[in-house]
Amino acid sequence: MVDQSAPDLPAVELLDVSKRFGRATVVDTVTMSVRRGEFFSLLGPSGCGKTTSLRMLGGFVVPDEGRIRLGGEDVTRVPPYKRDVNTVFQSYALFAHLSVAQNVAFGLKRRKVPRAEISRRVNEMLELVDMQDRSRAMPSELSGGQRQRVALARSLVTMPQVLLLDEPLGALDLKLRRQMQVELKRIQREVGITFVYVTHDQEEALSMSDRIAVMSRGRIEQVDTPDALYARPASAFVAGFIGSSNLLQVRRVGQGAQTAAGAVVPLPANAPGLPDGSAFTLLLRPEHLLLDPVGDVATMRGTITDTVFLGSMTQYRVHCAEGLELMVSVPNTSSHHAHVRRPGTQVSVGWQADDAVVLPADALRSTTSAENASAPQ
Amino acid sequence: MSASGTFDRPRFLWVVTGLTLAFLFVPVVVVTVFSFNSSASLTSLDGASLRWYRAFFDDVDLLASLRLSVVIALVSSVASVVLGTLVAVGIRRGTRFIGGPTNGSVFLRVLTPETATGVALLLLFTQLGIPLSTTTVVISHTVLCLAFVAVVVGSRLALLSPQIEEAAMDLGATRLHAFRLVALPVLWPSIVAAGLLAFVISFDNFITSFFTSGLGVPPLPVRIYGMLKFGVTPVVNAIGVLMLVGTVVAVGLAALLAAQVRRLRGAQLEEAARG
Repeated sequence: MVDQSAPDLPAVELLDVSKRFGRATVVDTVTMSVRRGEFFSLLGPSGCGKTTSLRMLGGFVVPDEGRIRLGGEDVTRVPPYKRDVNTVFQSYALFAHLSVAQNVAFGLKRRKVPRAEISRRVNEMLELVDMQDRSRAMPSELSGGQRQRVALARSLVTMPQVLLLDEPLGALDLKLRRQMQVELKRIQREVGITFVYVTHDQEEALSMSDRIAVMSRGRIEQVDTPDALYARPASAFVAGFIGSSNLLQVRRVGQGAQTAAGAVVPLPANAPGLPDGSAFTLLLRPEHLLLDPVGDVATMRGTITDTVFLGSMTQYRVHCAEGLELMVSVPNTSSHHAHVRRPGTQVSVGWQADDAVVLPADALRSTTSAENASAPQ
Repeated sequence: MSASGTFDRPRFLWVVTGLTLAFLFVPVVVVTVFSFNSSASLTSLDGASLRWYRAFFDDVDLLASLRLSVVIALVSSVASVVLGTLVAVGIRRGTRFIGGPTNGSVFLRVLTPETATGVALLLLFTQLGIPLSTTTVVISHTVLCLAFVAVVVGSRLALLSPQIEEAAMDLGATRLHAFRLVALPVLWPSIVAAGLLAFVISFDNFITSFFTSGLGVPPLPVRIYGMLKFGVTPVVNAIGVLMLVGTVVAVGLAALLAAQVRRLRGAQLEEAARG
């Protein structure tokens, strides 16, 4: 991770940036800052404004309001060809009439780099992306993964301050995607360039990023490290979008919280002071829920309605007496393996009080969409 | 599907194919055969001769018209290719507010009956006090061909992702450079095709030429129409065959040129790979 106290200016800054297309506000007063050398992701569902934000950084879209800075320098109205940022497009956008080597050389030629140096840097870059054997091939002769590598090499060869990546792995199959995630991370470490990465795939963002900005409806919901986003989501939307989650609508009663059906559950020790009777959301991760727990844990009674074996774990859907649907994940240890519970089994569901997360009240507005997003995959 | 087609294919299909080909080519064959007829008859054959070809090449007026038609076709096809390509780029890459209606009007131009266009151009020139001449024919042909060029080049451009040009700009090319370096190389074949189409449309155009040519030397199709008023002579057959041969040769040359360009580019690639 990048040193937070680094004295140099942020690589990228968006200050109160807004963009409207017709009547729709696609990006709504977004402010964020990306550190030098960071792998930063913009994560959100389609239409959340992440690609438009990226295009504004690239210079293809001019914001209606706000400022954009690169390394401290205002570039809000600087055209793409004068910005020291390059983009890897979702469609790769390779030049079909040029060979792999000529594609990669394109940016260097525009910068009037001497021939010998172009040839040397192109070869270096093709080696970095493991495409040195295909330098004479035409783009039409390459597979999707190979095109991806060429597009990456073409954008990196000019050593821009920032590399923008717009869902670059979207068109690849799952196995290749996993492989390219590791590759991308390695390449980013080797070249040391700031990456701003747009994706709707939470797993992709979690596995590669130093920090993630979760976006929804043109706004940034939360910016944090992957583990912090998972452990301490700032809103029900983030909780629902990152990982799977159980969201309980509750009211504060005394030292605990009461569900709509009347059950009283304990609150974590670090819960903020909320007035009695105030409504909020309680987040319970499926892996924090325990089946038939023993000892001092909060419990609810219910019936298993669905059992899904997922290899490393088993996922249960439990219909509780209080009218709640809870998802419970149990790791498939040898002891659990011995008594997997079938649908119809009566169980009690419990959790350590401190494993619950209180989501701020103002996050309730997006609860509905979060519940949809947290549906089992 | 194709596998079942090999044994399911009805026998009469080749008859249909034969009839279609006959329908297409019998007129061409008739014109060609009669252009070599030694007599002036248009119905019976009397031995072979090059008489009508000689008659054509001896006819100073016809040759003047031919030369004029070639010049008109050259100038108006070049003009319409340049303007039409610009229109296509404007439609596909410009503001949607202007591009949309422009695209509609271009299609409208393709669909407008030529008689209406011809009369309209004639009226326009008359109103503006411009005397009819070769210039007015060239202007009219350019107007006519421009829409076809815009449609042909525009449909290719529509298939070319704007991201290609964005990628070039991203890597340091200005908008104009980006178009020249990464869009134009892909558009070339369609631009050449559009140019050939424009040449052919202009070269054998009668209606628009008829309305807009003045009192001087008429373009070839207008001249032929004039000749028909005094009875059909087999010279017309010879002209038809010459135009046919000319067209085939032009298209063949264009194809050869395209192949040559591809080969040259391949050689450049080799060189770039070595260097």
